[in-house]
Amino acid sequence: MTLRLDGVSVCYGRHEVLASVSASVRPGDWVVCTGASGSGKSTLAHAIAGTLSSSARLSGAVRLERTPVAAIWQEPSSTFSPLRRVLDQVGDVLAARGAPRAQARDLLFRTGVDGKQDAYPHQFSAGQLQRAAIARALAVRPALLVADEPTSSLDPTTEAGIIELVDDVRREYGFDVLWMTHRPRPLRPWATRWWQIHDGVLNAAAPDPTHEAEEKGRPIPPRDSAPLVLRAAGLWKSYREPVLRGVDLQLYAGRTTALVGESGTGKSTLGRILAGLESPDAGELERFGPVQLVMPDPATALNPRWSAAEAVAEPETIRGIPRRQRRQTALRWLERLQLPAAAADRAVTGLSGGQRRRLLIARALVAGPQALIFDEATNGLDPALRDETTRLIRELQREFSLAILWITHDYETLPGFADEVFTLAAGRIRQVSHAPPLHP
Amino acid sequence: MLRLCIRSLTLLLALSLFTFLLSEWSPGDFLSGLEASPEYSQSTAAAARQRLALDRPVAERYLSWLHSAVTGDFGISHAYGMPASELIRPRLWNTFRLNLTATTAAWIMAFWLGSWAAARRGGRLDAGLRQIFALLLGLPEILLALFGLWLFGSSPLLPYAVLALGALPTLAIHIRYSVGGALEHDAVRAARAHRITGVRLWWSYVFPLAAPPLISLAGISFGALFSASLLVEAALGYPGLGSLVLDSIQTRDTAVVAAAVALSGLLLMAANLSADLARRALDPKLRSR
Repeated sequence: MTLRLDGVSVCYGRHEVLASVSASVRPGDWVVCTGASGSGKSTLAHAIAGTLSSSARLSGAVRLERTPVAAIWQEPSSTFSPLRRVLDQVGDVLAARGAPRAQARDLLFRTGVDGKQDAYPHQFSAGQLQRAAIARALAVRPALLVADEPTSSLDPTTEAGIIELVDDVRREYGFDVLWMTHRPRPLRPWATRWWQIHDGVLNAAAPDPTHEAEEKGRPIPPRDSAPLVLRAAGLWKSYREPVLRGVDLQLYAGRTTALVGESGTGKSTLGRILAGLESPDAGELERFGPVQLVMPDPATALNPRWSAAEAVAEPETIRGIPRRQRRQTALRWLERLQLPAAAADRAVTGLSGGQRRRLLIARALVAGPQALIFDEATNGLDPALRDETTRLIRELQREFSLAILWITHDYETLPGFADEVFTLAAGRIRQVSHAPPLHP
Repeated sequence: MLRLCIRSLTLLLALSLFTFLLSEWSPGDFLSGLEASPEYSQSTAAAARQRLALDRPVAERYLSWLHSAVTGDFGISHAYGMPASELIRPRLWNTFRLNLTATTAAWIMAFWLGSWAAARRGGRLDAGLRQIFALLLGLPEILLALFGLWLFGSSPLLPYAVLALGALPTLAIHIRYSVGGALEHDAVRAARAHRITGVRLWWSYVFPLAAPPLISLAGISFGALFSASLLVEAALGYPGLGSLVLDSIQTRDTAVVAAAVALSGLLLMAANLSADLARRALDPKLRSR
C-alpha cells in the first residue's frame, strides 16, 4: 500500500470540509479523484501533501507507507517563489535531501523545460512552469505524486502534454499518482481507479464518470429561449500593453456565465467595461438592460462612514428618491439578503466580511439590474460562507431572472450553477465547457 | 533613475524655500530680541541689520543662501557667526549615528520577535505579543524619554534605548504580518511539501517573500525615527541636531534652520532611494524592466 487514509476529516473552524475519508492508493495506481468545485478535492490533496493551511484542523490518519510524497498544483505560478530562479528552486529540493544541486538541470531537461533554465517564474508560460513543477516533484524521488487540478488552467494541447509527461516519468521513477480533477475525460486512458468526492464525502469505488457522461450526453441549455441582456463583440482594451484582444461575450437572462483567468489577465477590466465603468478602445457593446458590477473587495467598495442602510440605498440617493422611501427600500433589501435588521444603522465597518459582501449585492440589486457581474464574489470567504453566498446569489438569480457573469481566478469558487465556463488568457476568451462536468 | 534624482532635487529646493518663507512670514527676525532691549540704539540696529543683510528682500536672501549651499557652507549662522555647515556637521553626524544604531537595534529585535510570533501565528503567545505591541504603538517617544529619565536618570545609552524601543512596535507588527503572510504563501507551502526546511526555507523563501513591504517600511520608518529623534535629543540633552534646530528656530537663525532641514531631507531621500533600489534588486520582475 502506498497511501492509506483512515477516517480523515478536515475542519475549517466549525465547517467540516472532509468527512471521515477512508481510502487507499496501491502500488501501480493512477487514481483519478473527481468532484465539483468546493467538494473537498483540494483539501484532500493538501491533507496528503502536508500543506493544509494553519487554520485547518485534521483528524484521522494519513498513512504514507511509501514516502516521500510530492505534489503539483493548479497554479504553478503561485507555488514557485517569484523571487528565485526556477533552477535554484528545484535545486533547493535536491539539496534538502542531500543530492547535488547540479541534477536540477537534468530534471528540468527531462521534463522538457529547455533553454529557460536560468529564468525566473514570470518568464515561463503556465504549461512550462507546470513542467518545472513536475521536475521539482521528481527532485524528491517521490513514491506518490498528488496532483491537484494541475491542468485545469491550461489549454487542451498543453494539458495532454502534461498528462503524457507524468505518465512517462511515472514509469521511469516508479511512483503512484493521485490526480484531482473536475474534468475527468482527458485522464480516462490512464486512470486505474476512480474516486468521487461530494460535499466532503469520498466514494473510493466510483464508476468511470466519463463513461456515464458519454451515455447520457450533456444537454446544452437552449440559448435562444433566454433573452439577450448584454452583447459584446471584439472588445479591445490597452493600457501600456493590450489587455483584451477582441473579446466576444453574451449574457442571457437567467443564465450564468463563468469567466476564469489568472490575475492580471484583464478579467476585472472586462467586468468594468461591461458594467460601463470603463470604455473599450474598440469593439461593440450593447446593453439591453441595466448592468451592475459587484466589486471584489467589500472593504474598499463601501464608504466606511456610511451605515448599512445608507450604503444599500446609494443608487436611490443618486436618483433623488426621498429619505424615508430610501430607508424602506434599504430595509427590504437587507432582509432579502438575510442581513439582520439591526445591521441597518450599524456602520459598514462594523459588519463582517461576509455581511459586507451581501451589502454590496443588495446595493447592486437596488439599481434594478438585469445583469450582475460578480468580480471575485466569494474570494477570501471560508468554504461554508462561500457556499451560503453562492446559494443566495442563485436564489436571487431565479427570482429576478438575472444574467450573471461570474469572474474568478480560482476554479474552487466557481458556482455549481454556471451554465458555461470561459477562460480569459492572453486577452482572449475561450469556452471551456457548457457546464462544470460532473456537478451533482 | 534620472527622473528620480531630478524629483529629489526639486523636492529639496522646495523644502529649503518653504523653510525660508516660513521664517519670513513669522513675526520678527534675528535682531528683534536685541532691538527690544533699551541700551540698543536704533542706528546700531540698522547697521547690524544691514551687516547681516536682513534688510534685503527674502528672494535675494534665499538665492544667496542657495548659492552658499551649493558651494558647501550653507550660509552664515547669525548666532554663532560661523558657516552653518560647520555648525551642523558634527551634530548631524551624532544624530545620524544615533538613528542608525537605534534603527538597526530595533530591526534586529523586531525581526526576531515578529518572525517568532509569525511562526506561532494563531497561538496564544502570538496574540499576546500583538496586544502588547498594539499598546506600545500608542506611546510617543517623548513619553518614553521622560519615563526613561525618571527610571534610569541621565545615561548616554538612554537616547539609543528610547528611539529603538519607540520604533520597535511598528516594525515588529509589520514583520509579524509580512512573515505570517509569507508563511501562508503557496510557494512556501510547496517548498515545505517538498521537504525544504529550516534555514534554507526561511532564507530562500520566507524572508524574501516577506521583504518587499518591509523594505519600503525601512525607508519610511527611518524618516519617522529621525523626526522623533529631534525631540528626544532635545529632551535628553544629546548633542545632536535636535537642540541646535530648536534653538535656531527660537533665535530665528534662518540659515541654520534651512540647512538642517535641507540636510536631513537629503538624508531621508537617500534612505528612501536605497529602499527603492533594494526592492528593485530583490524583484526580478522590476529588475528586467
